[in-house]
Amino acid sequence: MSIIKSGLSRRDVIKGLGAVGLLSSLRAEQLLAQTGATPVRVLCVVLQHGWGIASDSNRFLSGDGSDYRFPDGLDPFNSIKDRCVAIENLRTLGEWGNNHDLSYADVLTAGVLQGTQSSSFDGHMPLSVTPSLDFLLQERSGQNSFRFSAGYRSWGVQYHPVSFDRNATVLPFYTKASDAYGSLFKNIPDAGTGTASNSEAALLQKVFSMIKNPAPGYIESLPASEKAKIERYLLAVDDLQGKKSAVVGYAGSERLKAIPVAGQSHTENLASYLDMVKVGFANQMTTSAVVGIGDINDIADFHHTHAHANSDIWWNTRRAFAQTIVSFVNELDQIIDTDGRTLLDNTLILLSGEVGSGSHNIVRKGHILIGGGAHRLNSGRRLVAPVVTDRAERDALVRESANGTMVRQVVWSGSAGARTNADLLREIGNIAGLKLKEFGLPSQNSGDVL
Amino acid sequence: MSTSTLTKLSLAAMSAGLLLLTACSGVDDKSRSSATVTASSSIKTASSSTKASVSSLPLSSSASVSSLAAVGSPSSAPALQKTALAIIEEQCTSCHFGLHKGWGNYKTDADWLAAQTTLGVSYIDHLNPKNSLLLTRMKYYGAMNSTMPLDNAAAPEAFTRAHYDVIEAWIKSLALPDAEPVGDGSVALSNAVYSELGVSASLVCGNPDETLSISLNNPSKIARSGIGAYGGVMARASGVTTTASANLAAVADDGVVTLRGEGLDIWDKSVFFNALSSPVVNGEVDLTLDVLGVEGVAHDFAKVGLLVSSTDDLSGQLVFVHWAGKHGLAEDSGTGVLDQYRQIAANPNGTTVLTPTPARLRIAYENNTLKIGACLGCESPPMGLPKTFNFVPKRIYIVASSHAESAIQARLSLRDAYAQAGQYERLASQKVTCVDGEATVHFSPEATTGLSVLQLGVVRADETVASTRVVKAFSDGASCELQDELLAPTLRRLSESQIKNSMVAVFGDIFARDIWPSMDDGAKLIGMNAMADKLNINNLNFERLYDTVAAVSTTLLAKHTTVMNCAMASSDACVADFVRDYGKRLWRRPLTTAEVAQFTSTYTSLSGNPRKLDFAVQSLLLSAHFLFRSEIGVLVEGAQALSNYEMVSVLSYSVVNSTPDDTLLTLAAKTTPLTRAELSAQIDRLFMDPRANQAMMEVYKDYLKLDLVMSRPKEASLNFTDAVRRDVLASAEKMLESKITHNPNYMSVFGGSEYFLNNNTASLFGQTASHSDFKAVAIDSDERVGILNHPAFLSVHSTLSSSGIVKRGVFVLEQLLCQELPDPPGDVMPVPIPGGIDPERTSERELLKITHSAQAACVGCHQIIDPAGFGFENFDVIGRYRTREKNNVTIDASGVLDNVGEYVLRYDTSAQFANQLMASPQMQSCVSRRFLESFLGQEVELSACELKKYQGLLQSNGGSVKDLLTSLIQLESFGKRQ
Repeated sequence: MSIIKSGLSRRDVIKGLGAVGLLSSLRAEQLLAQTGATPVRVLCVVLQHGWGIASDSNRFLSGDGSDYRFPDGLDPFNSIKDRCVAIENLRTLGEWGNNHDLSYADVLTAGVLQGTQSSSFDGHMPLSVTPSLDFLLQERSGQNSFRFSAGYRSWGVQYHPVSFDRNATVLPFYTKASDAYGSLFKNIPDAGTGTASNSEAALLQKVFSMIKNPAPGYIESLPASEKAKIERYLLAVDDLQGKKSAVVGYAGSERLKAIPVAGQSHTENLASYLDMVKVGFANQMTTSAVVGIGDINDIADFHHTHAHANSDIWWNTRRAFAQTIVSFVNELDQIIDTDGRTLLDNTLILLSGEVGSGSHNIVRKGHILIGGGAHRLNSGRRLVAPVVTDRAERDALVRESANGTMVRQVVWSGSAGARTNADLLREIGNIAGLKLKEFGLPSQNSGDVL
Repeated sequence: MSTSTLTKLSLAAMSAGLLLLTACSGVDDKSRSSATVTASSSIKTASSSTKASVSSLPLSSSASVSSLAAVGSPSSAPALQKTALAIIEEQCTSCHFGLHKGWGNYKTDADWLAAQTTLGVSYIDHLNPKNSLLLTRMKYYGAMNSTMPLDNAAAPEAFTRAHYDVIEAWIKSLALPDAEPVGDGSVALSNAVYSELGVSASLVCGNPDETLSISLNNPSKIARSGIGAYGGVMARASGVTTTASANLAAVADDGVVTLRGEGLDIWDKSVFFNALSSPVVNGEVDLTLDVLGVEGVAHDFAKVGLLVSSTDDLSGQLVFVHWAGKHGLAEDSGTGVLDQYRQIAANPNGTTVLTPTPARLRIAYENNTLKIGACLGCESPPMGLPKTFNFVPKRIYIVASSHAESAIQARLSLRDAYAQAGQYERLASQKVTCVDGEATVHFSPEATTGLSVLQLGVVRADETVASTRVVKAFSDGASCELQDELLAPTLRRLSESQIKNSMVAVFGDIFARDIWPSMDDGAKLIGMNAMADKLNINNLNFERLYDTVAAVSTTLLAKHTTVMNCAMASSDACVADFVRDYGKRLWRRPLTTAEVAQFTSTYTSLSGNPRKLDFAVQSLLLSAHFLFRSEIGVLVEGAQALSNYEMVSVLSYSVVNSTPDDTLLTLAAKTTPLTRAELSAQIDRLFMDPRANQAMMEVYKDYLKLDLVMSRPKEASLNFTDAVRRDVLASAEKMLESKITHNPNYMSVFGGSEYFLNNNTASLFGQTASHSDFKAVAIDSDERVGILNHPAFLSVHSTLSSSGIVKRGVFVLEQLLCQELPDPPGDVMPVPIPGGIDPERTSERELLKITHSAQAACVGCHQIIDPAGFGFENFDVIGRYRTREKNNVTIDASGVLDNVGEYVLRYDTSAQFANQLMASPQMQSCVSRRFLESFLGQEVELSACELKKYQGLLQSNGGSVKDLLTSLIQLESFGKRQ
């Protein structure tokens, strides 16, 4: 199916393809961007009901500074704590309604407007008006972020709205590892860059050209709400066209441990997803990834009996997830990146969740950051961000509302983080090469965290 | 109750624009009416500034908030000497817009108001208090019929019916009194009705043969004599001088006032402006100022607005609500100064350009409360308290301040609610002669000019002797288009099944079973899956669709006769024929000449017909014209008229869930719009198609969410294997199809005692079977009734290992009865099982009550949810009948569901509950609503005009399954959209 032009440098191949028009200039530029300095990769793992680090959790980190310990349930992280930064007390979405549902869209965006409650996406979860970190990284690298959902869903939607582009469009997740494999890895050649066969490519280009022009005046004739549907369709066509234009081969030697198969369990999917992230990072197929983990263990009355209560069963489940992450981290640490560092050295893994703990805390939420960020992250420490407790100070913590006014964020909590989720995401983005002065809603930028 | 608390609550209530407490204190509805009439009669002797509207007449009663304690409901207990607000404060910890917090969390009334605004809900509807959510909730939670559970565990006493009555009386007292005739008693207007048919009323005349003049007036528009009573004022650093209003303002022929604004500053101690000013007598002010435009603005904070003072000059307490240059709408206030600021509305265009106009500003004083409001481009500004003050206004100023050396010109329009009725703009008039003391008044619709409120006046010798206001209300037969309630035009992406069905319908059933795409649309538990907004294209499902289309193309080239013949043809003319012929079926309309030309010119360069056909198939099937069903139409006389092709598409997907066939497309080619008879004939034809049975069954399945039986996690010990699940689902499908095929009443499909069993499913029904094929078996109807008692339904709506009372209850309420439940609170923790309770010897029902439902934050909702779930307790997690659970604990499957409408569901067993549900008007109404939503792909509000029509049609047509479709085509929105 693919023609691999061996003997030429990857850069030459891309330039050549662009020059003869087989590769759109934008796509060529995107691929060329991949050939630069070794990038910092960023993986965001969002766990439904959080990792349990929050002011109202029932287990807490101990120790200070570099002399710290993760609590029972997150104890696997103690084996890699020198590669971690445990961050506590970050303020995220303000308090109103059911934070659990309201904050999915905010986890990686800090862009949900205060007070919004629902959306056409699902009716239960608002959307973000600012792009997510993974999208910004995708924009910069020109490589699509890998987005995977291991049962990270509820209310009948297949994945929670976590990743957004600049138009408040929810970016989809692969919900089955076999689908992800088929889309991202199947038939990838061992090296280099090529295209589909000339005749196939030519036919496909004609198909794409044809369907991208539905009819003169057609889109303009639609009501605004319906026009957006066609615009999303056209974005999907563009995306597929880009994907079919060039087949980028493996740039490194890492390969998937196993090919995922249809019908795998969510737990098996999670392992496959992390494997794909590892191979994707190692072979420079992407620089960013998001993995959502939901209620994937069959636990009776999970939500109320276990998640809300941070029960032992739920902590044990967290421990299993933690162990999975630790294994993944250790594997990254065994891979030598193009600059001679380990892949872990050049990676940042953010462990977060829509809430801090099962009791839905989002005004003093914890995160775990793992990796080196190309040695730009001072790891191996517990970082306790300052909080405000005075009523007047809490009242001063505001957030943009849907009608453009600034609204008080903290309604009932006695204390709240003085630093925000946005602060952390901004700094992660900058470590990864973004040049961000602000991230998310302007109100959410309050100072440095790391 | 402390004074401070009372004040806080009163202020909170007032902020919502609802403090009309004095209007009913101490009287019940009947006596309130007479009290109002008595008060009305005082109009005649009131001063010329007396407000004409009865609604805001200052009654002589000195009733206050605390005096409301005496509200005289028949069932009020003597001991119940509490105000409505005090009761709410004590009892309702979860009456706060989903915040689930007590009153104490709101430091100020502004907090409370902000919470309402933020969340977009209001517990008290100040425009129509009888419809207030607070009342609905209280009814919902049981207060109408029984003692409500303690919402606040710390409340000193239970919430009783007597408490409810006090609150209800209070809320109803907030209502604007019904429009009643006012006048001198010599004539009376009654039975005034204003609909799309015009205005009519009955007139009773004191003089049996008198001829009177009847005027139809616009009460929202004051005749343009508005500034005659105002003098001119110029406030400067050197002092305040007065002048004639004509020196500052001019009145145009159309009544618009142009006020010249000057003054170097208007903030803090520098309160400099030009104004039209008038004293306010007895606080009687209700002035609305429309800022229509402001020219010559040189300073960002140039201001135009209404200022009131507690004194007759500017030394007192001042409140200034205004349009603020580039800074939106705001309020300044202070004592002798304007040094306090509150933004009311931000400039929607940022702060670099002027705040848009028109802006509407209003200041009113009523019920001892000063209220202000402001909004941009709106009809009714929300009224609330000023930031700090509450005073009786003594003087009002219509202010324009340039805040600069140069002047501004403010174009203004005034509405003074205290102006006399005679000053209302007259729309029409007629002479009416009474015959035997009676006459009928009628004005044609054209005379009403589409206003929402009108005033009828009876004039004798230039004096208004009677008048009444009348609010427009559409008649039952009014068209939805007239009411501006047509449904929205939509693009509807084909569902997974529609993609498959359409391709199979066009090309035949020649494809492999595993090529169809998963579109990852999810499965909505509440609502229908066909909602257009939920079905989208993204880069992941589009890639899967591409894989499908590639496989379809390969199959066609290998198996489809027409395609294969064309592939081998020497000429490519057949490719163009293919595009035209099959494109019409796939795109549900003929391709235009340009579209066909685009195809042919594009594939010309491809070599060989197979590749050209490959291109054509892929392009047709990946096109938006295939993937999105168009229900957009074209604009015709103010509505989007659907084309014939669009209509037959709606019809075809509704009846057979597939693309229109050639018969429908031929019919659609008519140059005139399809008639209902033609559409009805097509329903008759298509309903005979076996696909119709399947399609309707799919809608029922979607309504009940039966497909989820394949994915709901169940404990391994239940051995609820994939094979069992498949057969359970097949059993349910057969049950539904066996009903639908006889075209019974659409509700009857849910019933019956004949189930389809095989070797995998029989045990779930307490039966045995060794056959793998399904056979109909009658089951004891005292145990199990209909699809709601089918294991497919019951195992979908249960948890991993238990019956899931809450899950079942929520589903019944939200999906089967179309009730809206609030989101669960975010701060709920389960209560540990108390010592002495053995969970293995306690029913799940009892445990739920102990650990969850009894919590203060939960009880409000669970009071209603739980009885809707108890009714399935005769069935376990996978739908097996039971009378005992755990260690021989007796099942209690009884309950009373009495808070979802007039119809009370009382049941002792699950079978009774199912029968009660199916017989309930609530479920009948809900089913029809969900089906309509599914057919048209959009949510339909409970009060939607088209839903009412649909339900009426369904009833009048007979209510069969087919009538779900025949009623659909009779709706206006079937053929036209907003």
